[in-house]
Amino acid sequence: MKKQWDDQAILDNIRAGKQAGATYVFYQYGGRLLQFFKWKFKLSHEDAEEALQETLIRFVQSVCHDKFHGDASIYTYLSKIGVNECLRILQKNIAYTDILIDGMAIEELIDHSKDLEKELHYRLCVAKALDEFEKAEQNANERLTALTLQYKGGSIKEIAEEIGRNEGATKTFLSECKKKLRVYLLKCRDECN
Amino acid sequence: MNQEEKENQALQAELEYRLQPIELNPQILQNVFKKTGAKPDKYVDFVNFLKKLSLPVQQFSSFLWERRRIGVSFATSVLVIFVFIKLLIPPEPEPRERSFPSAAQKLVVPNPQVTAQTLKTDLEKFGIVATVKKSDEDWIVEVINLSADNLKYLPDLLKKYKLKLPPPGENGLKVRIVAKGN
Repeated sequence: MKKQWDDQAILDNIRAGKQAGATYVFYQYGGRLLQFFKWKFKLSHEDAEEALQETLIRFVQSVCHDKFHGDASIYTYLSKIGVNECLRILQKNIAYTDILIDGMAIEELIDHSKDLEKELHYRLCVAKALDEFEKAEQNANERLTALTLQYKGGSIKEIAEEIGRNEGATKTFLSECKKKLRVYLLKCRDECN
Repeated sequence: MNQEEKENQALQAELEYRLQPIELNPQILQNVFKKTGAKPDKYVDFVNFLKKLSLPVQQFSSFLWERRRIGVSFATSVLVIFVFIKLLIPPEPEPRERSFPSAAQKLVVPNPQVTAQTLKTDLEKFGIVATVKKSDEDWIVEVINLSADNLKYLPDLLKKYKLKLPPPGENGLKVRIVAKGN
């Protein structure tokens, strides 16, 4: 039977000196972190991988040394460590100094690290919220496919063809999907605020 | 970019990620384990199982160790008290050992009473205190303690009466003097 991981189970496993909890964190959040590091900090793939590795190391060490008490979610902590690691790599690497990130020089980014943490936190929280949505809602896959097509710029006609509904029904369906999903995403907004 | 736009962007990024997840390099995870010392779950469980098994042995050893320390303290205290008592209280004079000859030597003479008195007198000449007593028809001469000084003169005296020295380890002399013809 596949183990159901929650934050407490992950922390207990890591504190016991085991690997499974950290492995779950790596596969659950690693890809999203890597994507965010590359996209937001314009890191090369190698640097993004280094940032990910150091983020996980610091996370596991913090849990083992009881620095992380579980009073916030795991992804809150991962966001904080992750952003710091990316800034460290940016500062270390002279080649990045000319790059502007969201119109900001790297030196300015440090002052906005809290915003970046918040953004990453929301990103990781959305991943978890969509997992919960998939588990709890009927036709979750169909709903998420429809939304994905819409976000990718697909027309109602194209989406309707993809999900096998007429255009009117597809409009209603999309509106219903967003409404249902909003309930799950509200939690993330509350957490971030 | 306002809050809602950022949220939409995060949702869009997640939806796109689900369509095409990034393939992660498993070496990263191995490096994390190497750096943090995390071990496979089965290995940790096995080690914990062995620890649980050895727990009663450890507890018993610890129990013995604790008792041993108490035992050593107790023995030390007793020893110290004993030494103090020995130092403070003067030793009692040792009672003089009474040693009796295991068997009386027999001397057959015509007049036992006279011989007994003569032997007693001869012994007293060398400072050896002897007692004479009658036992039925016989007379017994007994010396309770023979000192090392006495033993110097005793061989010649006893030779005169055809008697032997007491065996080694005995410091008394007992002679039964019997009348000839009894």
